[in-house]
Amino acid sequence: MIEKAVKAGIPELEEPKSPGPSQKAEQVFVRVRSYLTKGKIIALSVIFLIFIVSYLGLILFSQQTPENNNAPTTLKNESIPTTENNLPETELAKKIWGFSQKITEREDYMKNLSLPSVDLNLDF
Amino acid sequence: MPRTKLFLFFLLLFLVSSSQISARNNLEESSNNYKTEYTNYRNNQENYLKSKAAYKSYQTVASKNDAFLKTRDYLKQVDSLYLTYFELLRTILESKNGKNNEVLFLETKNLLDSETRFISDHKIKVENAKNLEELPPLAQELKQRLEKEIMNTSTLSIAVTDYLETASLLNEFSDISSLVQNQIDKREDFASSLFQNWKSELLILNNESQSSIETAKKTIDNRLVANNRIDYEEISISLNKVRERMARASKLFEEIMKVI
Repeated sequence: MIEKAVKAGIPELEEPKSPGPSQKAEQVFVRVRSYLTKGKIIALSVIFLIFIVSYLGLILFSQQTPENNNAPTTLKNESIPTTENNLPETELAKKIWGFSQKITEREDYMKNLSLPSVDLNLDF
Repeated sequence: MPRTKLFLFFLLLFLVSSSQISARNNLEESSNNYKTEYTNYRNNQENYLKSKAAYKSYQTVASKNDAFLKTRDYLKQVDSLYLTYFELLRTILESKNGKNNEVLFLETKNLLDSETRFISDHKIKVENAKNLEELPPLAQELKQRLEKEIMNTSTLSIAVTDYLETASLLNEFSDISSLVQNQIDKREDFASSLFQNWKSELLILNNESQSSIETAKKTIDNRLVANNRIDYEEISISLNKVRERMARASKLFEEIMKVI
């Protein structure tokens, strides 16, 4: 094969001592594929899905704080110069925004949590 | 064997994920439990009223037994309703920053625990009742407790929750004031009349708010010391004054942020 290559004017090739990266990858894939049964593939896919869903769920829940939920986009995308105590200006703006949200979203505790009235006059 | 391990792994993963999510939703869960028990209460009340009417009309042993069973279920449901109600009050109280007044926080929690214990014991007594005649005294016992203790504990818990939330808001106001002041101090014109007026306005708001929240706290403390009936209206008026001032402060923060 090398001789043929030389005759054809192609630079001489060295005898391959070990498989190239693509061949190695192929070998690994074949080995992994022979190890994985259909059931294992499904199981691994399910594990992967559960991890993704849990991760996304956690991110979603952690972002739903009053400070971040529906925060104005202008505050989110601003550049972040810092103050003396290393608090970004945008953080300060967010704090002020969160503060005003807490005031407006006040719960009416007395209305929502008043003691339920029940009938206890069992006049038999 | 590997399948068993895989199953156990899944189970563990599911439990970990669900416990994390449920911890975050304690408040929602307590609120839903309370709503569910309230719906159950309404249904049981309807059954109780029907069975009572039937017994009064027919006066038979069968109708009496039915009235007993339905009334017992109804009373048990009343207890369940109050248990979930106190659980909801406790969850909401715990969601506030108790460090603003730990004594008040713990005292309120103890009172809620005490009422929960009473209701739990009462529920056991109702469950152990064997005939219709035992039920009206048990209902009276609960009624008296409601009028003497439960109503007051409930109002106190609401007042303390409101107080802790407002105190937390006031702390936040102080933090933001300091941060904005730091920004102003960096400016060359920090001594200008605009900033001086802003500062004095904030000082007035702070002093007035501190005074109002102290009034609310004194009212709550007096109730705890003298075991008097709590007047939530009075507390609410003081706390609302603080909130009104905080709303004004919020506008001042936004205004000054446009300048600096």
